[in-house]
Amino acid sequence: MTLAAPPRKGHAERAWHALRTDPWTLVALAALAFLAVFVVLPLFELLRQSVIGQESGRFGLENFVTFFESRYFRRALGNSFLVATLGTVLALMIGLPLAFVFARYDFPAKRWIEVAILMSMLSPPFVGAYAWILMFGRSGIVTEAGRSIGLELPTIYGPVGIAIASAFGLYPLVFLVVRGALSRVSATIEEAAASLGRSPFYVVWSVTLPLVIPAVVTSALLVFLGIISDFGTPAILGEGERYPVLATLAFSLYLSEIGAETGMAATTSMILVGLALALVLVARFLATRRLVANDGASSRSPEPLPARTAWVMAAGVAALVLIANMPLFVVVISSFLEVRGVVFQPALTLDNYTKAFGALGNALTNSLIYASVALALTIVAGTALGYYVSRRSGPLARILDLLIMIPYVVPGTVLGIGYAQVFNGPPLFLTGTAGIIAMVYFVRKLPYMMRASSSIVYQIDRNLEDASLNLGVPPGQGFFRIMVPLMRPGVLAGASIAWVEIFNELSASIVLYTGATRTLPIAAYQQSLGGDVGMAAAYATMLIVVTAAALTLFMLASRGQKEKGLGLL
Amino acid sequence: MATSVDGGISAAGAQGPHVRISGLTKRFEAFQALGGIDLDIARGELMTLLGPSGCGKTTLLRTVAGFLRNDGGSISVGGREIDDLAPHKRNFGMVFQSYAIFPHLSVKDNVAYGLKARGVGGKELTSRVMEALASVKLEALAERFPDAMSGGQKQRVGLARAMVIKPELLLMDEPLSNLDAKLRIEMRQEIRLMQKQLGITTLYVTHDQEEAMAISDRVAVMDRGTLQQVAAPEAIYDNPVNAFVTDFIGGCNWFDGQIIALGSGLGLALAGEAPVLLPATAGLTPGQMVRLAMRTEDFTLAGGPDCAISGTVLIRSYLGQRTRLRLRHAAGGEFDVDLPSAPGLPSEREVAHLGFLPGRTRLFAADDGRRLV
Repeated sequence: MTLAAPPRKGHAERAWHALRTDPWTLVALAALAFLAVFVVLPLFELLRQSVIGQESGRFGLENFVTFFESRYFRRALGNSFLVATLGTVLALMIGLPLAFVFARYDFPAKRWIEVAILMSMLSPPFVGAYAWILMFGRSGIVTEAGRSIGLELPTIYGPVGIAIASAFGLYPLVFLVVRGALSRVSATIEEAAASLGRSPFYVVWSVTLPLVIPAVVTSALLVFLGIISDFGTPAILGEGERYPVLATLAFSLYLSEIGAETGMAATTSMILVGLALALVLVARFLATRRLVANDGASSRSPEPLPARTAWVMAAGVAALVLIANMPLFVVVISSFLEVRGVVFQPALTLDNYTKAFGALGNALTNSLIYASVALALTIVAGTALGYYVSRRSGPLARILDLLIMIPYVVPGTVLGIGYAQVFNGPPLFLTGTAGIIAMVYFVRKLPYMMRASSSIVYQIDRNLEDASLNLGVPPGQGFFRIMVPLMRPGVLAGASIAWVEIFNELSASIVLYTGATRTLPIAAYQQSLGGDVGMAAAYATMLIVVTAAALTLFMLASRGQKEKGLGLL
Repeated sequence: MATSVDGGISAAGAQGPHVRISGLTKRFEAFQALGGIDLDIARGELMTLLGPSGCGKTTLLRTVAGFLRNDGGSISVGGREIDDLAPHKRNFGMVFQSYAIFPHLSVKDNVAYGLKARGVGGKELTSRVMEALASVKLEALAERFPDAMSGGQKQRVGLARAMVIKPELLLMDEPLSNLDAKLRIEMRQEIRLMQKQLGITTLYVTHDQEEAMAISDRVAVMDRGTLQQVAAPEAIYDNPVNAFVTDFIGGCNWFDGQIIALGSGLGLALAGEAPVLLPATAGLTPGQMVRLAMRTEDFTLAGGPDCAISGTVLIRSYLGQRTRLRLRHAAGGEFDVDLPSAPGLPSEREVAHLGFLPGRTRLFAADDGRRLV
């Protein structure tokens, strides 16, 4: 049986048809235009600058040659690798045992410890770094204590300190990814291996481990990416120029080039982006090759332990998590301590807050306004685009998905530099405005929001929308009456994480702020970088408090939502 | 145009069919999902689309619903073409395999959803919703949320929600596939009863041939995007038009054979067997290669000249009124035979001699599977 193919329609005609039958196409086209300006253009500009020779002004790889010929630049690259490698190994050492213990055993206070683990992910990274200085810095609490008994502790500044601080901030990523994979390993697979006469240890070694290795590698790559993209931690613990990494190097090159040099900041940025991109590609490659470890039968559920073992395990896990959360406590407590010179005294005071508020200016209100505007945009756009990319196929949806995810890979400092280059003149003169900071917040966190909302859309039965249409409700109305209420819990969860990250954003806004648009994280960062230690602690505490308060609000808002399932069987 | 035809299935005369699908085609990229479907459904008729997965039955249903746009051909309902009509303007009720009950709305609000879109409110809304819930015996659960309900209850909500809008056409997409066997039989009787009472024209999709047989006025058997046969259940079973329909409906044993001249007439020669004389031979020519389809219940025990086929009994299973034998044919291959349970049936490892019940030998062309006799 052969049938004539339907007459091929022209592109224009097809596009017109798509517009006419699906109003979402309009939303997608608007998003595409926006992303072209606020994602593609800044990065393209950096790419352009990186291939225009700084000395000769000619097109070519001159800047890259300069980069790799310079010992200083090479050192920054090497430092980035060293710090990221060390930090990743440490994060794995903390995260893997936790993941295994949580996936396999039940023990007291498990839920609370889990909350604590997630908490350590939610505190802004450079606040953690600053806390390590408060403890182990030149005049740190522990350092002073050691000195008083004649013990000189190794310095926290430099690669080891950066790696430690980063690892304690990022190990929850390892924990989450690997625990998820471990609990998906079907119990029957292990039982099958055990029934073939293998010892429990050998079963884990020969069956379980190979099945979760892709997850371990994926989480390691994410941690690595997180560390090389981070600006605050290496800036504080590397003391800027003294221990440069790529992110801080790009930033200081950008600052100095406002006068003379152009191109090297762009070149460094491109090298950083290339590195990040390579990591993500490797992670994606591994994800597509992931072994199917679940036959759908029974996934593994944790087993109870004998009481004594369980308590010992709980204590061990709790101690580890407590250490990881130590920075939070240290920062909050020291903000209430008297400061003499650069040393905290064992006396309570509110002086730090008096001084901090005195020098605060607009920082807090700026932060609240920019972050709120950005969050509102993120929620609306993330919901709409998450829906679009998960419910539509075709080139437009694929391109959008790709473009939205770019800022997930591009380090904040790089995006910030790109914005500063592109939007400092007509037609879009945004440099120095509040708008540019809200915009960079929005663009950077859109990927998270879109992922959160699209993953919930995937879980919603497609037929619900068809049912709504079929019952006579037009598509637009149906979206608001069916999809929006069902997506709300997932969107709220995504929004709470987005809020934490937006409110504490430093690496892009540090490039883009001016005196009038200074934000709270910038104020905290400036004070912790050789400013007043007491004020730094006070600002950091304010960050923590606002973050925690907002999270509580989100939790209250989503508590009213009764879980009603998503219409799946 | 509101028609007030008191139809019934026989009203297809002067008024024309309620639903007319003609030359309908649909292609997904390189895959031809529907290859020119022509189908008429009479007013009040329950038409079932039956076929294996991927045969295009759901595509056809979703095209009628308006969720998919046909590439060619057209669909008209009550004489009016609906190809360009948006799905939410078609006024068809649909019942889904996954139930598609709105999880954030109570049972009552689920049923009211379509009515509200039609501007029904106040007392009328309440009374129509409760009436619809009563018809599916769910009045007591009106305030419940779907997550606390069983699959059967959810599907009743789905049915009430589709019926309450008084749809022009009821579309059902494997509505019972996710229910357990017992509930499935119960529900299909309820659906059939309600459909007949309301006289609502229904297009029903299933892959379960027993369900199709039990519920339908007519069955349209589909394969690879085309209709194979459209007829009443008995006709489909007794008189399948080709090898696919024969095999799909009821299942059967297949034997390869050849038509030969035998005495004054024509005979069928199966490998390893003495040829048997064929009573009806129109359309056959000697030398023709054929396939013989025999349903399991179309055999008798027969000795001597009546024996058409024999085989060694591998397994004998007692199934109550009948006993099933699995046999190995002398020429290789295995086949199943159902015989009325009685003393004297051959035991395992014995050779059974079987005859064909008269009029039950169905011959198909070996090359294209078309029905010969």
